[in-house]
Amino acid sequence: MSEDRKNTPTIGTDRASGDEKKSIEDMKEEVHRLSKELGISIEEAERSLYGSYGMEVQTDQRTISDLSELEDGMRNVTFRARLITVHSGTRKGGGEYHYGLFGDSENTVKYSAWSKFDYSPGDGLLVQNASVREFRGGLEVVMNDHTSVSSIDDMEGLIPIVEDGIPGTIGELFPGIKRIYLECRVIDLTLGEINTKDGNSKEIMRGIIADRSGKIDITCWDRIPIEKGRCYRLIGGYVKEYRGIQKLNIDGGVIVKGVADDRLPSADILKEPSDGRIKEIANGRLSGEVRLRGTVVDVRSGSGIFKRCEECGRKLMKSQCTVHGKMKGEEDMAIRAVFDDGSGTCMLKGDKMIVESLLDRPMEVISSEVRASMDPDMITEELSLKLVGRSLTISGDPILDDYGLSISLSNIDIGWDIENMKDEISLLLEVVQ
Amino acid sequence: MRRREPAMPVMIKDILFSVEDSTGEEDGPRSRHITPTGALIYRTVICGVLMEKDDIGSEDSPLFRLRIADPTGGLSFTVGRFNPGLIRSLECLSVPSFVTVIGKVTRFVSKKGNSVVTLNPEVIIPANKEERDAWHLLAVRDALARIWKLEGRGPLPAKFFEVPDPGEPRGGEETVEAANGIIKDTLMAIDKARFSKELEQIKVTIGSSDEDTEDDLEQYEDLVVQLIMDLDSGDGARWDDLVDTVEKKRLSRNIIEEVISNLLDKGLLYEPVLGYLKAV
Repeated sequence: MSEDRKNTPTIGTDRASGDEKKSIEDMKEEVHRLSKELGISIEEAERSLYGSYGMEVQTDQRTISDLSELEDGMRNVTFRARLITVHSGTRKGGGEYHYGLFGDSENTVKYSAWSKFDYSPGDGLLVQNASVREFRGGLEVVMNDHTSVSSIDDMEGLIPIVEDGIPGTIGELFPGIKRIYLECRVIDLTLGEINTKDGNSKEIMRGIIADRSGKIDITCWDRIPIEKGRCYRLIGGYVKEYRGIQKLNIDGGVIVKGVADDRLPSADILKEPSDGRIKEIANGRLSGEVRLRGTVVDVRSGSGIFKRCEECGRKLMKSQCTVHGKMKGEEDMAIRAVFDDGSGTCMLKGDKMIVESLLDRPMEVISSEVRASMDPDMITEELSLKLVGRSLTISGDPILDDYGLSISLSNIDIGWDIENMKDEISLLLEVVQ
Repeated sequence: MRRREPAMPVMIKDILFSVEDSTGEEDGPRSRHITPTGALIYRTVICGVLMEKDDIGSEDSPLFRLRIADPTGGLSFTVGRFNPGLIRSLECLSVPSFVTVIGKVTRFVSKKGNSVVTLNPEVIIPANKEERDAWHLLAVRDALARIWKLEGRGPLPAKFFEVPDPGEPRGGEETVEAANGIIKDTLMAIDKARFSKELEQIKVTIGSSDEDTEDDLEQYEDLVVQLIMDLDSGDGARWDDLVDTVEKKRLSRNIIEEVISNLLDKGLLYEPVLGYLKAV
């Protein structure tokens, strides 16, 4: 295909520069001559010649009303569509092309655009003179120099009809689900930038959305009009599992509809970690921050105060870093402990802040105590005494990997809410005869 | 990788009445014990009062016999030279005092030929009254959740009530009685005023539902319609929200489902969309 187009301008400019005003008859003759000379079909010759004069080929014009009518091999189709996604790639011979997805109320179709294409997701488009081919098992609309694309304001029939349905809940999501439809509140949102493979940087958004049924981390690969704290209906995107935790991926093609902010409880309420049990988390049925009730059965050695390499952050063993050799080191504190809630066990990981709050004094004080006593294990023992066998309420973000479940702690409290537990028992009590 | 067995909170009578279970050996032989409340335990955590601490060892091989008691019974076990870390922690324990013990459940045959159940302790630490109550409440909550699952009642009221799959308790009616005894005795010891009332109420509903179910259902109809109208914010009341509310009011889900299907038949309710209910 690209071969064809490479030839086109040479033939075109050659002829065009000769004499501008050729009659239709002359052109027809020219077409036959080209067809014969180059051994190509009449259509191909017409296309090449007319194209070089900036004329549209007037054969087989078809206007379709619905993307489902598209068929392999169609040429010169005209249709309306909503632009869902735009990605750009580099052509083999240099230059840029665009590809992505078109959609209307019910269907979607892939496209590739080989000439200038300057629209953003969500735009309504009128596409004229595009062709359709089969590409990787599906249909693809191909747009090139002969295709004209213009944006339209009339979105009638282009907005997915699912919008009038009932949104699902975050609690019902599972890895692999596509085209999700949620009513949610954005409870956290940060703007970020990532470096793409081709060396450019791309602006993305990361955050957390929540509804009454739970929370989920989102990553949006484009900037979309959402704000922290507001409520929206989101249509599009897919859920995938990353380290055992569900994440929602969306991009600029997602449909965002603002809804009244009182549709969902306030961000503070939704932010509360959800009560969970290790068994449920290990089965991947929870996402977002969790709160667990249980006890620590072991504080692992290495918890407490130690030195890190200034270069790489690795723990120093006898002032030696495994990569950088002898280092002075920076002091830091951490805790690793085995947690048990009666349904399973997991590893707790806490940073300096957690250790400071558990020991109720700052690192400088702890550091001088350890130096005075000459016993680096004393802090591990103190943590052990504080935690092992105690009734603890912990909250944090779960991570599931090859080593099992671990939770990076955001809070740890000693004691359980007894009145709450009594209420829970009342809910179950009917099984007693 | 072999997973660590969780320490399940149970009451002492649960351990005393447990039966050794050699099934469920998917990941290697491990002796678990099935308790009357359906717990399949390997490791356990119990909290109670330390009743005895007898030094029965010699200078070279220290040995202590401990006895811990809760509202449902008492359990003896020993700490000896195989638990050097624990001997030190025993020093600061007085009798009587609250303690939490984490350990593996084991069994041995006594000189008289009886099978005796005991603990191989891993952690013994002093506790206080609040902690004791908390552990007992957790033990009872999990026991109730297991029975709920054993009875095949469908999903538990909340995700965080989920427990490891229970085993079918052995021993027929006696075991059921023991399980009920364990739950009632514990609850009475913690908050008699509250739970005696609630247990009484359950007895009343179970008694009456046996007698005149039809009347009962009609009596709930008005309540259900009212609930649906309260929950309705325009599109109808969400079925899940309704179930939540019903469960909060301590009504049986089964009865309510039957009442709703009656009301749908009568045409007093309709479903504008699947999963939503609306009153006429």
